[in-house]
Amino acid sequence: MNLFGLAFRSLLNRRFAVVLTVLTIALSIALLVLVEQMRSEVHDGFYRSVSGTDLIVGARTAPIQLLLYSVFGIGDATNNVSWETYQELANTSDVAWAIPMALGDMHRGYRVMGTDHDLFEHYRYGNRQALEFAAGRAFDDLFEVVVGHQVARQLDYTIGEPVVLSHGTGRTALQQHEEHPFTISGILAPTGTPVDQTLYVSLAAHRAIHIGWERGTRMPGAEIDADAARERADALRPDSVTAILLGLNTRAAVFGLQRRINDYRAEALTAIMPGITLQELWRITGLAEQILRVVAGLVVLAGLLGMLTVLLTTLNERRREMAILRANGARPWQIAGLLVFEAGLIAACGIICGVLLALLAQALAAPWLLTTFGLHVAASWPAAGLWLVLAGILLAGLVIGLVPALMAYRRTLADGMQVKM
Amino acid sequence: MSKLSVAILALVLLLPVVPLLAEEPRELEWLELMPAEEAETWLAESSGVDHSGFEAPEPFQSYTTVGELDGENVRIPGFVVPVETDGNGKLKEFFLVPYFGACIHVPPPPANQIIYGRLEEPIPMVNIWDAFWMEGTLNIEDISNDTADAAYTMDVDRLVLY
Repeated sequence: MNLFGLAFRSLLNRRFAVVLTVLTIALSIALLVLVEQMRSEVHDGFYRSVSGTDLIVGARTAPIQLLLYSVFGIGDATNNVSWETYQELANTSDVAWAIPMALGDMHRGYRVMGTDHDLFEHYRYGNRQALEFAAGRAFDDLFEVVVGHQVARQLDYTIGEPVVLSHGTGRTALQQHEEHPFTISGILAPTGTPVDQTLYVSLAAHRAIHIGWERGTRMPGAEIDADAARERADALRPDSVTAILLGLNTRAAVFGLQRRINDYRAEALTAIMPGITLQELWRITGLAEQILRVVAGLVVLAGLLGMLTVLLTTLNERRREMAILRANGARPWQIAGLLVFEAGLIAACGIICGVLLALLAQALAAPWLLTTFGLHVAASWPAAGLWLVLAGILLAGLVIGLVPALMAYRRTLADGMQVKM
Repeated sequence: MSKLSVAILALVLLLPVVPLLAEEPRELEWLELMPAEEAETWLAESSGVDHSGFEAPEPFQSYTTVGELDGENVRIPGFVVPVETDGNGKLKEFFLVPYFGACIHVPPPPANQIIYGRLEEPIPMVNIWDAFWMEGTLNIEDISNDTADAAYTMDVDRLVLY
């Protein structure tokens, strides 16, 4: 019987301890892989969501905050940009297009955004892809709404269905805009970005549903009825928008325009370049990522040390096994090889199980990340760099196997045939 | 393995040829991108920037380019401002600027002090706080709109840490 067969059978004989060891290593590897994968997937997901937008403009706030609430729907705005400023920006000679975003309403846990047709025309995600309709078309009538892919899927919506929006950004709606039901005119194709989690209405509609709310809550009787609103649709416009996405004619003009917006006298504004602000965000989260990495690394080390403990403690119990092998003509180096091979086998099994476990965890976490943050995280194969780390861990496992191997090598000569158990 | 050996073979065969084919990129200084007379006014003005008050100096915008630089193979150091990714978080298009970030006392660099870099093959996202050497072919692209008529772009061959 060859060495591998022997090692395998010997391991099978001690299956309980071995399985536990493999599990320990698998869990530590899964943690390591998961931390690394999630980090890069989340980064990619964020980068996916903004493409082709040169500047994001909002009221004076922290750049990261502006990016998070405008594009990713994380957190709320503290202030809006006045309608006049939006108009002036949209008509600036450097600006090719301006997508207004009016936030503040929800529909069953999903964000409702007041915007205009520029969104469908100019918004880009991923590799400069435009939004596409899976069904229907953009909003046309005042009380029409376009819904994102996930919204339609989770709530089982189809074209033509009535939808009631609610006031405020809470998950449960106590105050509804039920006097103005909307009809779904279009469903967007999946994008893997927060767009999938959003409902879009026209700016005029965003204004219309808030008539009668001027005192902060609904005044019964003060609201406008649907037909009257439709008649006034051209004149209806919000007093302010939450954020504006800008695309420029000349990309090189972005630095100058950003400065002019930030220095704008009439209103306190913040203009950010999404690429830079994302990196600022990663810089802040970077420390936490490093800590997670270190922790994951230490857990792997603990797993390997656990394996060493198991191998060493069983070494004593296996004196008889070694003695029989020696009596049957096995050389000391073969015994040592057997132990190194065992360690390698355990480490390899642990790594394989760990990677599979990580993939499973990613697949399970994906729907949650999608509904909570609108981030599309696919269970993906570890990147090349991570495989190198895993190979390094396997090597470390083999090196650790050398410890019991050396002890066995020395010992089998001395007490191989003695019977002093 | 065979791929590797082919690559090594190709490398060995090409090594003596490479220096003849591709001349070393010329090291470019940022001020060379600005027409000479403009650079003089620019230097004269920027030395008088007042850092104390609330008033920001008038932004100095310049879209004029130096025609001779078109098509030249150059290397220039600067900071990367990411603009476009490939949808998987890899850097595709970016601005290279002579200095990084937020000295909000002085105006942003004029347009002819910015190069718009395009990478043939997207690369993993770089750190915006690190300086890089950018190597490639400098182009002057015509832009027909009210504010600008030309701007520098580069087909980037290499982006290496400074």
